[in-house]
Amino acid sequence: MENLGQLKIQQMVFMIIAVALFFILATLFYFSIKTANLYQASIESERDRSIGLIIKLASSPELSYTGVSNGIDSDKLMALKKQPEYRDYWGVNGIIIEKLYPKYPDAECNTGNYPNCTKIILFEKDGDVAQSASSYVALCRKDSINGRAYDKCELALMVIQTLENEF
Amino acid sequence: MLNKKDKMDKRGFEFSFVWLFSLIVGAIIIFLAIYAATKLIGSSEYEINTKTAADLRNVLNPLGTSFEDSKSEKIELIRDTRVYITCNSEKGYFGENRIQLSEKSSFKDWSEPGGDIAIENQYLFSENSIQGETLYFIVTPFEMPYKVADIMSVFSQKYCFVNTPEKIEKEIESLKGNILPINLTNSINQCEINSITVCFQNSGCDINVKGACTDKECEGDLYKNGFVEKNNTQIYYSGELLYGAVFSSPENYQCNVKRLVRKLGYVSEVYSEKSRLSANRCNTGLQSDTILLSKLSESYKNLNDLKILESQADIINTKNKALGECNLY
Repeated sequence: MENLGQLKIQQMVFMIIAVALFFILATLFYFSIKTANLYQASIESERDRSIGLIIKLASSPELSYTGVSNGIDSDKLMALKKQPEYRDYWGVNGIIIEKLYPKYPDAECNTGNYPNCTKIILFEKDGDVAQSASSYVALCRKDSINGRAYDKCELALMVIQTLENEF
Repeated sequence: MLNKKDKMDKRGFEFSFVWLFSLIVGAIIIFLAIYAATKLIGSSEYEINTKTAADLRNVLNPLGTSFEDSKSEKIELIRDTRVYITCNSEKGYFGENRIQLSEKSSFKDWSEPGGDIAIENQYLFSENSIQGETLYFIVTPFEMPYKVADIMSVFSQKYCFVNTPEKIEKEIESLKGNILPINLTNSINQCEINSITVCFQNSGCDINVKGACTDKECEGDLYKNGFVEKNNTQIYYSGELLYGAVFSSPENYQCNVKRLVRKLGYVSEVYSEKSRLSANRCNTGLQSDTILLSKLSESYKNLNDLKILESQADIINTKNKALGECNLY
């Protein structure tokens, strides 16, 4: 009788261990799926944010050119390049504006060659870029002919880069 | 014979060690299963609330104004939700708002609030917590004298404006449309019982607005600046900050104004550099004035300092208007 009881207890213990292992494996499986979904959700959320931001960015006071719809002020961009405070303000990895037409010498803009240059890199952080969102904009500045001021606008592409794993 | 039968019956109800062991272990397994299930539901609610807060942040970006004066919008949530909005003016260069959500749960009253999501590039003027299925937004530009950012006033309750001045009434009427739950009346008695009342120049409402602009530059608009009395606190407002002061808790208002002024400093630096860069093409001569505005912003301490900034902004505005086509903004 004693041996039979011990056998039953052993059976019970094996069964409990099996059930516990099953639950542990099921939980691990559940969490691995959940983590994968969460990562995907964070990527989608970043993409949505980039799209929302690119709509808004051209009209932000730091970039917008008064009186021109979807117009960006190139003088302001050059000024912003000198302000490190804005590097984290929009929560993106980089903002790059590239002139498309008319053609200029293929060079990054700096105080020496501006406005005869192509690319204005507002900032660009280190790290893997997850995705980019882009939009066509009018890149404008005040210019003058014979002492008379006018708005000079050129076609450009604004690109926003987001960081990987940013949530 | 009877004794033997009794013995047989007793053996039928025998409660052996195996039974006792399996009952205890079974109870432990069931308890752990229920505990794990509860925890999983809790973490799932936390995840949903965090994701909803992140989605809400994403929706806020396109809500800003571009060339229009102001606009209104509403966001409908799936279920009754509590939104906790905090403000920290000291975080980073621009300060931040943080939003945290808690949805009405089917198991308990309110689910565990999700993670708080930081928003650095928006200025949310609201009560510390708002509750409802619909969030209403009034978005107005903060200009001093150029646009600095958008004032996003967020609320979920009904409001009743009593004896509203003509200019503000027109503005609210145009914003209201079919979106905002704002009632405009001439008497406090006409307000719905569950609405928050806002009085102009009279006391007796939940919120009382006292216009104080009597200078020449006010151009007869008494409410261009003044004070909003709320929760036994009096706060100064100027221009479009009126909506922020009405719909926001005093602490959120003061914190967000501080953030806006800090941003005014950075935007002024941008305009100053723009003025320098474009000097050979279109000389504005506003470089020193914008730098001064930036310096004044840096020395901002509290709402009383807004008046100093306003007067410098008026100087820049007057000079800019005189520049004609070569204006700075």
